[in-house]
Amino acid sequence: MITLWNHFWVREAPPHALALVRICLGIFLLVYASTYALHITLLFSNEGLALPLYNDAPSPLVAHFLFTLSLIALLGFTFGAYFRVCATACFFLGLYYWQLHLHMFPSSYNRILCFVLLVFMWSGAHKTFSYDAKRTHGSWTAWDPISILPQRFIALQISLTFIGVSLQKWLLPAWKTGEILAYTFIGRWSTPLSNTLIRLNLPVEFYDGAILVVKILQPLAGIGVWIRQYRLASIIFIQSFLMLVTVLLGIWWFIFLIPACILFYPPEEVYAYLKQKNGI
Amino acid sequence: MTITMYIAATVSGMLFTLFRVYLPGVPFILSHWSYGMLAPFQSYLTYNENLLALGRHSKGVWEPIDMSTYKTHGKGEESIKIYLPAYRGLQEEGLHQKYQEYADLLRKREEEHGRLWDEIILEMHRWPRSPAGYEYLRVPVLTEITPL
Repeated sequence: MITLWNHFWVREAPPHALALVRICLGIFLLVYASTYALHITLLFSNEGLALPLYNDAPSPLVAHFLFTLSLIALLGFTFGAYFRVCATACFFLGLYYWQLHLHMFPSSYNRILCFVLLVFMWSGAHKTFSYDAKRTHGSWTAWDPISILPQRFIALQISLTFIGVSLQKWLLPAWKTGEILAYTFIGRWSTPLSNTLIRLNLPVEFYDGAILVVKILQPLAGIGVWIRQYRLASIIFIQSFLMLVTVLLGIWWFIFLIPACILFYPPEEVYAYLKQKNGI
Repeated sequence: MTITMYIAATVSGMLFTLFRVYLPGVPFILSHWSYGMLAPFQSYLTYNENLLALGRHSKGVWEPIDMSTYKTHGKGEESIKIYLPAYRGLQEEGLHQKYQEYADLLRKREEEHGRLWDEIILEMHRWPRSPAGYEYLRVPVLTEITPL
């Protein structure tokens, strides 16, 4: 039993899967940050409309300096350059922006992002495909083994998010019928595609059916990702669901979970695949 | 230790998800953060809402302020921000004070753009949703106005 526990939580493993997620997450965060780049004074300074939770908003000059620092930290995170420093800076700057402005939009994906950054701080995700690997071993593709624990935390959280969200959908009165979907499609989260869909005037049974399918498949996918024969199907469902949420509701922030699905595969298999395909 | 903390926080978050109780002994911030990562939309609205700011000229005339300058992101994100979610837990008076702070900041920003107002008030406008469009039913007879 102890052997199984240790094998699952703390064995040493190749870092490639986590390194790929680091790169994708870094790119996502750079895109996310860029949506704020033109509004630094307005959102993050004392000459804007910020209503911070704790510390006062700084002057525009300091706000621009901190934002630049965030971009540098994100670049370091993405390229795995001085990774521990950059990942730590990303996490704490993330908390800083939460208390300054992001609390105005307290979404589950912002919370998951903070959690993932916390895990990455001590993950060893820079042990390959990184400037740090190049600096210390002379090659971008050189690697050292890392603990599988960070990979497990992120993968478990994705899986639990799907299970937890779906269990709530079974319990909450708002999710009993498809009305929630129909009203959401004509509300603040509507997109051109959801507007088009709603104008087809489909019967309410269509929306009831869609909600029922999601309520059944979401928890199954959350569990299925851990079972070898159902893994691929579960991942395809998760990714399709996240894409639909993006195009039908404009909620695009969850897409960072799409590349993270690689963490459901054993890291040894990911490494073997990359080695076979690319000779790494 | 780390694994135990993660499992305890997650179990607590899941318990709150299902039964609205937290696991005793787990710090609230961990439980609540974990729950926040497991939560879908809790309910849905059958109406739309928007925050409207009105400025009073020196001559005493009230005029709507163009808020588009201050909206930086999409409709969904902006329509959540208008509720000041982090301050919803405050008493009515506390929340009112936060909206007042927001109005004061807005007055300063308007001043910087050369638009001087003696006073700014905020209102929440609510109108029914319609498949015909987001603003389709935003007409006076169907719009409910709540001063903030």
